[in-house]
Amino acid sequence: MKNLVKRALSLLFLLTFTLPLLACSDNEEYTEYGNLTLRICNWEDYIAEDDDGVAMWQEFESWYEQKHGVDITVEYSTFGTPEILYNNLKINPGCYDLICPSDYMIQKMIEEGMLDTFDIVTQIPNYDTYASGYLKNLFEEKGWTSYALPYMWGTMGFIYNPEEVPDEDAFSWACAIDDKYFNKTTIKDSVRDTYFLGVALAKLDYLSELNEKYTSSAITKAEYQATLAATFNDTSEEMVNSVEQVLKKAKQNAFSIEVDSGKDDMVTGKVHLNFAWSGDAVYAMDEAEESGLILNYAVPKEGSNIWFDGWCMPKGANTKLACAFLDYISDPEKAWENMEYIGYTSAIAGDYVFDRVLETYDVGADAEGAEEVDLSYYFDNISRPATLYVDERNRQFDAQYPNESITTRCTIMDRFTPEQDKRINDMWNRVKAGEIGLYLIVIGSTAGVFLIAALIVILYKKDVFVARPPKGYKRIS
Amino acid sequence: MKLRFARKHLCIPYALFLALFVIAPILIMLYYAFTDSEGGFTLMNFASIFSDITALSAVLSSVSIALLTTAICLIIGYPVAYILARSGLKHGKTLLLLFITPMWINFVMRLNALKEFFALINILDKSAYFNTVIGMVYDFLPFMILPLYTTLIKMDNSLIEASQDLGANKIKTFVNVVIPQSMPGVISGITMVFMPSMTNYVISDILGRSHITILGKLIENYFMQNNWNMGAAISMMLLAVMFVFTWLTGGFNDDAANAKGVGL
Repeated sequence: MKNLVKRALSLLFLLTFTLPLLACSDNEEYTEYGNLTLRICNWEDYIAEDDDGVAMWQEFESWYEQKHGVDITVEYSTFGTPEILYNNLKINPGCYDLICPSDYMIQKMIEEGMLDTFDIVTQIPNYDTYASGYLKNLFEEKGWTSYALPYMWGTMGFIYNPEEVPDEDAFSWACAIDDKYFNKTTIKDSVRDTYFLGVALAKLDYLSELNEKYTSSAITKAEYQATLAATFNDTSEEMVNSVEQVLKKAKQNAFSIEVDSGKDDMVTGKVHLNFAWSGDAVYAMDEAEESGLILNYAVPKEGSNIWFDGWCMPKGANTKLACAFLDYISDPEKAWENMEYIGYTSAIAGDYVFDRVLETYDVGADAEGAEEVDLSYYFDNISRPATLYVDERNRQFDAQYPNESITTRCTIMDRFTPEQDKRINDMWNRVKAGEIGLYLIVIGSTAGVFLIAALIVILYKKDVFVARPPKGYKRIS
Repeated sequence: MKLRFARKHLCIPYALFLALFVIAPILIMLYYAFTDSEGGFTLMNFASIFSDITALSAVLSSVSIALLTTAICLIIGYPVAYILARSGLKHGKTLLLLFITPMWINFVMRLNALKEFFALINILDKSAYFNTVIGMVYDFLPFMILPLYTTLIKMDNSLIEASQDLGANKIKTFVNVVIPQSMPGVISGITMVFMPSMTNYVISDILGRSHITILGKLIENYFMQNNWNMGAAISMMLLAVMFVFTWLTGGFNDDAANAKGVGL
């Protein structure tokens, strides 16, 4: 028996450590069409599904088969955070052909030489034709063009209840530490986003002055954006310390520290201000409307974060099929389908998408309260003027398609180096741990000490409880 | 060799399960707990649990929350279990069932219901600490009542009768006969409430609105931040606490009669 168990155990150890490696088998199925398996790893809920639950990657399989007459297999999986994806790739390089990390992770992977390059013009013509020039330029400036293809993007800001929070308040980060909104705000349990909020809070005056300088044309757009980027990417010890102080204050003011529950708490009215991603804002506004509540979204004037998720191909990927897939989802119809399903803004612009935007948001020049909005900075590739009339401002439309004055005050947050990462994570852990009230510890510990004392007495000094004979009796032993 | 089926072969499935899901993960955790991010041997992870203000504050708040929860559960649970087991209630079993029924509903669902209820009576945004304790008591009370009930119902009635025959009043009988006899139930009740309430951060997240970081949450934080080493170290520490507790209460005694806690 012992031997048997021993053998079984050793076999199992072997299996435990080798199974994860086997799970990501190498692609060896080459034919004249090349490798016929495409392994995609994407965020959860980040690709459209039709009403029958058929996802777009499944549609791609059958579309490819019809077009080229070859059977292909798409292996689709999801990840929770870009860090997990990164770890998977480090442990097992080449286990995916196509991944969709966020901006800072793309940057990190490029720097560590983990990504293959591709050529957009020849390999992904749909993207080349339809993608917004605004995003193409941003990626070009960052030097990411041949490594990553923007998929969805958005901003960070406040979802707010206009009945409780006046617009001018919501358009400043200051309300996160304003006593007026005690227990009515939230912060994100996500270190990068909250660090961003912390910097904004620590540099409130500086940032709003900077914005005024830009709006009064005292500095150029390029100067403004460069200063903005430098400020928000400041991770010096000094900055981290002052961020810690303001975040502690923001935490005291906050109802909750959340990643997901904030939307619902907004809809049920538990909080009035929710620090949120623009896509979540669209979702919350839609949900609230159903229960008759109007919510708004604001990108504060001090400046905010603009973020992207982009498709990348790790070294050794099956680039041919990956590019075919990217070309497929870059088709404006598919892009709009994804946008409707996910709620964020697709990198694909073009006439078709603009038509859909008009259908959804345009109210016509004569409608009451209609304002003309110019989106030509984003829809720079369409055959007519990119203007439309909308009547409800600071709502779904503005969250999904921020105008140029908003995107100008948004900046990309760079990746942190491991040292910066550690410094900021430690800071954030300290903020989250906080100072629990001394009296609470005292209450809890006293109760506990009594309990333990009672236990020890009962367990090991049982004679405490041995009945003493009443007076007058004598024990006969 | 001829393969013959023997009774001992029946334990192969469990041995496999044990190796794959209990022993292997613990070994992996041990490895991470004693290494740094570069993979070199270090004891720093354990040292920083007791020197880092973050971990220390998490230890303090978890321990005080867990102690308070356990104490309240015991205070509420003991009388309930006693009445259910010893008062000869007509519908005792049904009543017991009523205490257990909530466990059949998913606990995240129950916690969210409790959250809405707290919001309704306007205490949700008050003390995150006490909300968490209430949530923990609510969630773990059945785990205290059940083992108490099982020991109390098995108790030999003649011992109580003997005590009364020998002149002890009701209180004396309770203190000298009932309590010592029910200690195995008390101990397993405490074990089953104390450990999970140190680590169940879903409760402190939902009802404490993440304002409180208990050890379970801290482990999650470290894992989310890719600091597997610290996460593993804290997990190992919790395991050690559990081990010591079980050992103190005689959980490792093969001789069931001498064990001070009923088997978990």
